[in-house]
Amino acid sequence: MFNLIRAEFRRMLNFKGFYIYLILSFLLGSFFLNERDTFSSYEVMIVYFTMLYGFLASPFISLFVCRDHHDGTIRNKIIAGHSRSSILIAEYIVCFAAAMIMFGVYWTNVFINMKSDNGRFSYSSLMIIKFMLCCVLITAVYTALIVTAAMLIGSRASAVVWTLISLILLIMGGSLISGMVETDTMERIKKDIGFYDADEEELLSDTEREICVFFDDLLPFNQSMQLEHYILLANLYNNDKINYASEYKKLYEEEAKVCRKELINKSTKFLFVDAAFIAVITAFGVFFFRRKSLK
Amino acid sequence: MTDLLSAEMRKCFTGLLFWLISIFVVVMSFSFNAICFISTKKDKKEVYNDSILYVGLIILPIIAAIFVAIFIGTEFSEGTIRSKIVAGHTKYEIYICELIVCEAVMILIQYVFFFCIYAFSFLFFGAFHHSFSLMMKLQLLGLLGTVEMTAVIFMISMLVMNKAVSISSCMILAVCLFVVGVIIYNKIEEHYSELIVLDDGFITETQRSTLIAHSYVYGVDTEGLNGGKLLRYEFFYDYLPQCQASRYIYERSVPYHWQSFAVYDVLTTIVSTFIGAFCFRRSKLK
Repeated sequence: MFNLIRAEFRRMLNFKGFYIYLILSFLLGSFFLNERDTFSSYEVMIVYFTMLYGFLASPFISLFVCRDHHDGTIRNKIIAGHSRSSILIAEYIVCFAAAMIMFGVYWTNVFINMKSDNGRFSYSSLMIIKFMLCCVLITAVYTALIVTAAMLIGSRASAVVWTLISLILLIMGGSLISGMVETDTMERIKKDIGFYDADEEELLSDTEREICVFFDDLLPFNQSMQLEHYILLANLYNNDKINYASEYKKLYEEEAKVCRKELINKSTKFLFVDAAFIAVITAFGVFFFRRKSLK
Repeated sequence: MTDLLSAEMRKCFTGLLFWLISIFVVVMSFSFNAICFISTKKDKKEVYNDSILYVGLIILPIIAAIFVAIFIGTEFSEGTIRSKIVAGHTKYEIYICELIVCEAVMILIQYVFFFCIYAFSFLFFGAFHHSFSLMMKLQLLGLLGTVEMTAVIFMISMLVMNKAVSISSCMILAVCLFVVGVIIYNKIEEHYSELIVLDDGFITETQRSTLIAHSYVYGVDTEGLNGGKLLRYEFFYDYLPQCQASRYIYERSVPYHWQSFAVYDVLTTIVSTFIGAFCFRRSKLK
């Protein structure tokens, strides 16, 4: 398996798309830094990469992985004695390593800009490491999903189209779920403080809400959205650049503390959810790839 | 050239790809209405369904990227382009014929999307705030955006000459334009909320009346957005088809500055067609 990974990695280094994507990652960092406003701290910059990574990675991984199918290399690997599961896992490891290099380029750009602007993080180093780990795992989930889909589809053009369409649908569905959870939370708060009648029907029933929250915590795009939401909210409530009236200042500081606590809980939860999700996708991919007939 | 065009049209409309995309568009228009119906029923809000009539225009570049890249990529991978050249057609003729076919299909898809959403909305909700003539005017403006995006995507596909690579590059372009469009639209919305609370010393009477009448006024600096950055945002706010389509959603009449939309769209179409045709004539076919 080590030889397979080494060979795949060499192939990745000879792949022109990889270098184009490195440049794209750098440009993406510059674009987000340029669009940065008062409330966007440098922590949010880490999360922004994972929000767009799915779209960027889909064509890149599909083109890289399906080239094996296209030129028949995958058959040669099997003839050379490699198992199908090791072929899939090797592809996955190499694509994930490439994603990490892209993330590194993006992050270096942001970090250099932060240092040149005399900027600093608003969270502790431990929290930053946790954020980065969360983002790495979200990236790993996307990579696992796209590699599995590309290996099962086989054709380069079909893999690009289907993975991108699935990602668009995943993001649209995710946004819908996230919106429903958010609106329902607001409705429930309004009901608790007596804005609505107690017997008035809720937007979501308890079971519906549980299902929506489950998907909101499971889907990678929703995880990025939640992380971004809490970081922005905590910064908004506790921002030196905004002069809040003294009677609200204490209240907002409390709110910022609640947001930070929620952020810590959520990021811990996402670490476990993502690890489990990656294991499930890989197992699913190995199961079906073993049964796939190769032309 | 007429023979080539009719053959291309026949090939396109009898092919599976066109019908698959048409079915996808019908299913999508039904889903938009169903989602809107469920959410309005649950939210108990007033039904204002006109917004989804123009959602099709926002996502049309992504559909164009799929259709054009696959259609043109297949022509190259099957060697049909070479056969056409061997049959005596010039590269210029081939470029123009393929472009006309792709434009025709995308315009058709745009109107299929619109009429399906219109029909399903009538079925679910029964009425619109926009008059039919206004809808047609906005769709006609949207058509220019569709033609522009199709011409750009077509140019990329004809120059790349590889199905998988052209699908990837066209879809990345479509998605990036969508993301940039959303960012610019949000920035201009934020700018608008700053403009509305500006004191009289910073904004003239004429500018204020324009702001109230059209929900936006061009060229007024605020603390958040000013100078070259504001100019850049306003240019892309008019230029990008995604931003243009987003504006149709909230307008009750033909949008302010619609003439710039039309000029930008037509200019981009002409420029991309010229560049595409010129480079394609000089390209080597494998």
